[in-house]
Amino acid sequence: MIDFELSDAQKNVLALLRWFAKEKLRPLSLEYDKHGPIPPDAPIFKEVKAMGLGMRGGVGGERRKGEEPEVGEEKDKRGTSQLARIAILGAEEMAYGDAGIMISFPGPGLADPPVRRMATEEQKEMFYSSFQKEEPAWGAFALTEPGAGSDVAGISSTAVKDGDYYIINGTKVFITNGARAEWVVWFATVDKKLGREGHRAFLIRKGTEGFKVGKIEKKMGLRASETAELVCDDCRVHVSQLLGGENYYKQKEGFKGAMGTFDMTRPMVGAMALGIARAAYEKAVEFTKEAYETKRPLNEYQSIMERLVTIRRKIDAARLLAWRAAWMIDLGKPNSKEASMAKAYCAQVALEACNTCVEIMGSKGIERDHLVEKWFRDIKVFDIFEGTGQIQRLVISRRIYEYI
Amino acid sequence: MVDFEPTEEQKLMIETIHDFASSEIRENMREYEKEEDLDDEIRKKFAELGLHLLEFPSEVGGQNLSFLDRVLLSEELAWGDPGVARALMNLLPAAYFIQYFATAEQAKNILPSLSISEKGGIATALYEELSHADPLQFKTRAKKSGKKFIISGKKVLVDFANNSKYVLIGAMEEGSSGWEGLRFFLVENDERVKKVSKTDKLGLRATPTYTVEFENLEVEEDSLLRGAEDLKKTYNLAISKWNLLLASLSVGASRAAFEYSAKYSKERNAFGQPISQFQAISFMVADMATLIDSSRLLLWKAAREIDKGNADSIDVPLALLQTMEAGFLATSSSVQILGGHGYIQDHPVEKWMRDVRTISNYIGQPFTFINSAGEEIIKSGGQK
Repeated sequence: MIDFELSDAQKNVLALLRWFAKEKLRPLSLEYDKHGPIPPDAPIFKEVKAMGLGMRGGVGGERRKGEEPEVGEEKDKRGTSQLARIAILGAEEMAYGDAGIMISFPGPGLADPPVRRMATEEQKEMFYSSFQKEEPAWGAFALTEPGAGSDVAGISSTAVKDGDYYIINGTKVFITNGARAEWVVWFATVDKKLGREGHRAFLIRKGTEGFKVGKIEKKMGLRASETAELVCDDCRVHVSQLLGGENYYKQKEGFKGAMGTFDMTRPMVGAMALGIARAAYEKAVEFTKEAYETKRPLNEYQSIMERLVTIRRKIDAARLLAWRAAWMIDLGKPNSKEASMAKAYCAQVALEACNTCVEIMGSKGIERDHLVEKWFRDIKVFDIFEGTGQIQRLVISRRIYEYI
Repeated sequence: MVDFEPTEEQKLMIETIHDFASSEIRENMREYEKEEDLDDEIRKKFAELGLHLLEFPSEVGGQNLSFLDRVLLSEELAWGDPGVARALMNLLPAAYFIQYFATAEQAKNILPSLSISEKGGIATALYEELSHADPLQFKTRAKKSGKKFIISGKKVLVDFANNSKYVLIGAMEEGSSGWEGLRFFLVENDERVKKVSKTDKLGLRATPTYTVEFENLEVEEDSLLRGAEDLKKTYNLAISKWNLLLASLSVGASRAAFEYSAKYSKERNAFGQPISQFQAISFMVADMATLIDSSRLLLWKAAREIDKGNADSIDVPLALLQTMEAGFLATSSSVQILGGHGYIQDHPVEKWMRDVRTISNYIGQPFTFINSAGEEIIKSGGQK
C-alpha cells in the first residue's frame, strides 16, 4: 500500500542518528575541513563503532553470520527486509552531520558491495575478519584511473597470470580511504582487447609488495576524507585473491559485478547529497528568520522565502526518489533506472540548494565559520562521483528506451 | 511503512481506466477539443465504470475509497487526455465543496441525484479575476434579505456554466468579515445566472468555460450550504483536493507526452541514426521522466496526508509547485523532441502542452503556495 510513514522503531532510529550527526559529527566539521583528512585514530571513530555505524558500506545481501544487526534493522509485516530503507535514512543523517567524516567511517566501505556480491566464502572470511578487531580498519574500491573515469570499460591497469599469482600493474586515482585501507578491491584487465569481459577484481592487502600509496589529493570539499592515488608496480597477488575465483568470470560477470553494485550505492549517495542540502537549507531558514523576517523590507523577505520554498520542495521530491530506489532494493526489484534517477536528481537539487543558501546568507554565506560555504564546496562532487549526472542520464534513458 | 506499491485493487482500477483511456479517449480527443464539449456516448461509458464519486462516502453515492484512489484514477484518465479527463469529472470541484460545506442532510439530498450526463453536472463559480481562489478577497457578495439571499458578483473560469443543472457559488456575506463570512450556495442554473462570455481557452478545450455574472440574484435560504464549522479549514480541505486533482491530471498528461516523444525519438532518424541516440535528446527524455516521477511521488504523499486528515500539510503546496514545474518541462520537451512535427496538430504533444499550462493556471499563481509553504517553513524552523 502506498505510504510514506516511518514505523515507530524507524522514527527512533532516525532521531538517534540525527542526534549523533548534529551533536557528534557536526562539531568536528570545521576542524577537519581545515586540517583534513581525519586521522585514522580520531576519537570519533570509537563512538561511531559503538553506535554500530559504518560496518556495512553498502546495502543488500544477507547479513553474515555473527554480524550485529544494523541499527534499527527489522523486517516489515510481510517479512520483507527494511535494510535499504533504513540505510537511506542513515545516509542522509550522517551526511547532514558531516559527509566527509561519514565516508571516512571505519569499515568495509565501498569495498563492501563488490565483496558481498562477488566473493567466495573463504574470501569473505578473510576480508570481513579484518573488521572484527578492536582497532578501526578500512576497505577501499579502486576502479577509476587518471585516463578512465566515466569510461569504466577503458581501464588500463593490467593483470597478468604468472603461475599461482597475478602480476598487477597500474595506477588508480580518487580512491576514498585508499591510503589507510586494509583491503582494496582493485579492478584490472587481463586483456584490454576484450573490453569489459577482460576485467577482473582483486582483493589487495595493504603492505603487499609492489602496492604503493601515491599522493593524497587536495580537494575543493570533502576535505575530511582521504582521497588517494594508488599504484601497483609489479604487485603480485595470489590467485585466491581473485574476487569470486576464475569461475565467476567464465560467466562474463566481471563488469556487471562492478556495475550491479552501483544500483545499490547510487541511491545512498543521492541521500547523502540531500543531507548536505538539508544542512544548508536549515542554516538559511534560521538566518532568514533572524535577519529578514522582521528586520528587512517585506519584498526582500518574500524573495528569499520563494527560494527557500523551491529548495524545500525539490529536496522533498528528490528524497522520495531515493526512498523509492531503496524500497526496490529491499524488495529485490531491479532498480537501475530508479537508482540513477535518484542519484542524478538528488545531486542536482542539492547543488542548487547549497548554491542558493550561500547566496541567501550574503556575507555570512562565504565565511568559513558558518559552514554554508563548506557545504557548497562539499556538494559539487556529488554530481561527479559514483557516476556523473551525465552517465546517470545515459543509464536512465537507456532503461527507458528498453520499454518505451 | 514506506511503500510505493499500489494495492491490487488500485492496480485493477488503473488498468481499467487505462483501457478506457486507450479505447475511448485517445481516439476522439481532438474531436472533443474542436467541439468544445464531450458527447453523451463517452459520458455514459465513463458513468458505467461507476467511479465518478469514488472517494465520496456511500451515503452520498460514493464508493468510500480514498483521495489517493482519486489521484491514481485522474492520472490514468489524463494519460488518455487531460482535457477529456477534466470534462468527464464534471461534478468536481463542486462536489468537494458540497460534501464539506453542506450539512449531511443537504449532501445526501444533492449528490446522489447527480449523474454525469450532460445536463447533470455542476458549474462551480469560484474563481475571481486576480484574487483567483482566495475567499478573503471575494468581491462576490451575498446579502441576507428576509428569507432569501441576494447575490451579486462576477466569476471567471466557470466550467460547464452553459449546460449544468446547478451552479455552486462562493461568496462573502455582507456585514461579515474574514473567514466567518464565507458562504457557498447551490442554485439552479437558469437564465438569471448570466453567462457573460464564453472563455476561449488555451487548453482543456473539451470543457466549456464561461465568465458568469450575478446581478442581484435572489436565492432561497436553503440554497446556502450550512454544514461547515471551521470555514477556513473546510475551505482549505476542499480547494486542496481540487488542486491536487488538477495536479494529477498534469502528471498524467506529462507522462503521456513523455512516452509519446520518447517513442517518436526511437523512430525518427537524423544524421544517419535514430535521434534517441543523441544525448541532447536522450538527456531530455531522462530529465522529463525523472521530474515527472519526483512530482508524482510528492503528489502521492500529499494525497496520503489528505487521507490522514492533514489538509494543512506543507506537502500540499510543495506537491503543487513541483508538479507545475514538471508539467511545463515534460510537455515543452516533448514538443521539442518532435521538432517541427511537435508544433502541428497532427501530433498530440502541442495540445498537451497547452492543456498542462491551462491546468497550472487553474491551480493558481505560485505565490499563493509559496506563501503558505513559507509560513510553515519559518514556523517549523526548516526541519524535515
